[in-house]
Amino acid sequence: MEVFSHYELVIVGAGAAGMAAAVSAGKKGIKKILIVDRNEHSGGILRQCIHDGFGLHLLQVSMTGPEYAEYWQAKMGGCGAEISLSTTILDIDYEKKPYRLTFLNEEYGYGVCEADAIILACGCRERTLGQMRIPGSRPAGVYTAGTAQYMMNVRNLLPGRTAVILGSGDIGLIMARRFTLEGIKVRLILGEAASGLARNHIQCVKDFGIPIRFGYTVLSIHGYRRLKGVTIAPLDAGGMPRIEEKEYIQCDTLLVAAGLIPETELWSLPDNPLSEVGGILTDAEGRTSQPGVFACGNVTKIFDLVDKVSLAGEKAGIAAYDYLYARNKNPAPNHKNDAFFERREPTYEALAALGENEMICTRCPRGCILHIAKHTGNGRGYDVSGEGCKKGMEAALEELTMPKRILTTTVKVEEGRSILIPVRSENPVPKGLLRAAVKECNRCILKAPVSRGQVVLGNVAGSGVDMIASGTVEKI
Amino acid sequence: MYDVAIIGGGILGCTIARELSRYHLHVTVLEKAYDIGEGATKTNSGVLAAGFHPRGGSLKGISCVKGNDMYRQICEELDIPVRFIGSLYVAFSRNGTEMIAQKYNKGIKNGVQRMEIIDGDQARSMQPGLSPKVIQALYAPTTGIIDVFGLILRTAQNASENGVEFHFDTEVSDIIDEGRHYTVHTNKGTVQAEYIVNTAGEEAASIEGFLRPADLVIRPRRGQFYVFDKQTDSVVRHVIYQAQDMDEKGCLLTLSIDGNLIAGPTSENVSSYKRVETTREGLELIEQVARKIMPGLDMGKVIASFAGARTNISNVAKEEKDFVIRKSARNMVSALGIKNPGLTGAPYLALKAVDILREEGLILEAKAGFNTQAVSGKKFLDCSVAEQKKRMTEDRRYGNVICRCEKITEGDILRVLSEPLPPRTLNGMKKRLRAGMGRCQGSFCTPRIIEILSREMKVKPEKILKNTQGSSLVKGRVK
Repeated sequence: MEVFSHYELVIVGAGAAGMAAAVSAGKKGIKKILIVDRNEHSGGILRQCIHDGFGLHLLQVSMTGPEYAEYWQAKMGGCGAEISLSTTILDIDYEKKPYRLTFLNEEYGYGVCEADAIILACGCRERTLGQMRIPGSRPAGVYTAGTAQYMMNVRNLLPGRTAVILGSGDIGLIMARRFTLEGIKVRLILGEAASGLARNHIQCVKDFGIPIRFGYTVLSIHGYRRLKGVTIAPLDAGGMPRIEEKEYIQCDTLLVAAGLIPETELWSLPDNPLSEVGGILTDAEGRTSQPGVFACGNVTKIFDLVDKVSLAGEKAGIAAYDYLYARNKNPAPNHKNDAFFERREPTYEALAALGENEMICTRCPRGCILHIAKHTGNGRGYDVSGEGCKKGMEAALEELTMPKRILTTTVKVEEGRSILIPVRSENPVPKGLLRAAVKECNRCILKAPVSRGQVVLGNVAGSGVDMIASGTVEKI
Repeated sequence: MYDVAIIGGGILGCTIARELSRYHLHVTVLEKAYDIGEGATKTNSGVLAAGFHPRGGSLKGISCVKGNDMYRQICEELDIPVRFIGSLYVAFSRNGTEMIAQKYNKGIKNGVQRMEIIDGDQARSMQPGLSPKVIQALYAPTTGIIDVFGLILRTAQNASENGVEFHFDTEVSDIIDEGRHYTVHTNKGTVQAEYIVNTAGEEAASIEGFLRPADLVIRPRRGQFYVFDKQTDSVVRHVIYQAQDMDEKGCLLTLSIDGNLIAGPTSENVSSYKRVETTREGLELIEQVARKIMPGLDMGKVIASFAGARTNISNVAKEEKDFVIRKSARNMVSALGIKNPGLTGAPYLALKAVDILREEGLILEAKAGFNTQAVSGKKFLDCSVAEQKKRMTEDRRYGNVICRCEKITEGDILRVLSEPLPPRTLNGMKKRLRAGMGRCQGSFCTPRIIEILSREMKVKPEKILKNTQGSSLVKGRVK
């Protein structure tokens, strides 16, 4: 097998972790970097996550997934890394020095490249129904959340018409909103335990009045051809279903949002140490047990926020530089960002604990608890206290009088490299207009090229707000 | 007018089709599903039984031993992966050792070669991880594992290349004896044939009932399985059966030819062949038996569970029950109650069916141009470097990985679509290439395969089915 090229550093995966690793490694001074991804685009899963909330912690701006991806793509463009897309790494030979990576793509076919150092940023895959060992038939219409998200947001495929969502984590909640906005009736979200961020519970579930139950699981799947329904049951204290309380719910789609599993396939060492959560074991800087091999992002453990993934990627890039260039190959750990990784946003628990006249401010991740009192004397109708900043006060008043949301959806594109473009409202749109706004977007057809920030639909649903492209689609 | 119409494209129907394609005959296979092997064949454990389970001297026993042996040549001709890894039939108690003695005697009567009764320690040295409670085992080296999908596909493709016509989505609703020939009525119109082969599996008794009073009652019996992720360190090295104690059902542990550990099947009577769902009780039973045999088994490695239904003759006493290959009427042969080990017995049963046709007057005149070799269809990444280079120059899309777990490229998918008997459904693709059968269970590749099928078959995505009529995968476009 011929060796095509030699690199100082090969990064496997150009998602959030890999892109950040490439940027920091390049900035530090590694010259010959290759970043490889099996998809046609860099950005990984971010491209299908058209909702907003990315970058809130790291960049203090709420971006959509495609915007966050393009932010990093732009940074990566300036760091000198060579990028190879639609390329699958089949195998890594850790015995050879330099390491040898076998790859496959349309351009070269089957080939080999060499690397002095490797960063594994392969992300994760989804837990499937099969792994949950739920009995029943195997009809069409059972999808993992990410599959349905990719179908709807990237491939313009409608997975079904009525759905039950198994999994009440953020991915399940976000898909519940996405389904609802596109006309798929969500009959129920159910989860074994209460989870998910408070802001997602407010904006994805409460806003649309979607039923949600905790302490429940799917007992069985029904349907011979296409899914007909599911049987659900509450769980007892020991986690066993209480079969006598089972219920049947009719649906043609079951969305499984039951967690993520690190994709560690390429970490194929004979006694490969995996962490308790099934990820590649690393130290805080991303160093694995193998000299010169680093790992970052969801391949090490499942992160709750992409911002942390980016930071972990940056750290791995720096560690790779230290390995290749620094005299001290294993410098003392850098604790600068430790606090960042510990950050938590208010979750459902905080929401459930709210008193009668309290609300959580979702304007920023701090999640201040605001106390509301009716007050007619000041012209605003309410007295708000407990806000951490002036914006919090405004947010509370807006939420009480005229709640507004950023709308994210997609619009059809012709003659482009993609058939859909992610779009967002430039400013928040009154909550009551969201569905009408999506309908208007669905009637709109654009012609490529469309670039990020471009207004695609003015004054959507008479809201006075413009819909803008939140990604870029080039002409074929 | 066909010489022979075969009703049912499972493993037996396809094996008979291939056998008949050796002769100057005009043969058709009528299959109600969208693909071959959609009945009991699909949910087979992939084990080539040695032949010590069935009653001594029964058709089941003899066909099993002979078929097992015949597969050596068939697999060579058709390039089917097969490995004779041997089996251990393990006993945990006195009762179990008595059953071993019985099985040994049955095996001897059926002609099973080279069986050995070994003690628990010998068994454990052959199969690390085997329960310390195993006291004795029957070792049968001729037990094998086979690529079931590959076998039926190559068998049917080979038959097709030798002139057999396959009709899918074609369900037989009646057969009329016209005196000189039969008229077979289907949802796609009528077919005339001089001879009928009835290998309709679950429908075999009702098909026979079109021409003679029904005497056998065939009921579905469900079997459930667990599939584990491919093991890096080969956990199971042999097919392991347990000599069941009272009130236990038999389950086995085996390796699939692709390296997945498979546990099952259960055995329970169900009301319909469509009741192929798994149940909590069934899966718990499998886990219990699997753990009894291999206490260290990691259930966290389970990636899927599935169930199938086999045909069980329910109105014949257990000790008299056997496979039935018989003349049902003039110029008509039926195969009834062919459950496990029907796949193992298929080559022998096929010859038996052809013999009956010959006795009925079918003239078997060997064809000079019969091609024994099936189309060669290695997936791209299993090809030699030279072959890979050649394919890459023909189509760059061999470089585009679609199913990341099983490493299936777009080129592989297009190649399969251009083969004889191309897949029409997602499951058809899965059966041919294992696309979607890996650890992500199709999470990543399903939408892409829907699009490729839609593009290549020139139909809308909502017309792409999972397996059967009504199993649409998507409901159209979002916008």
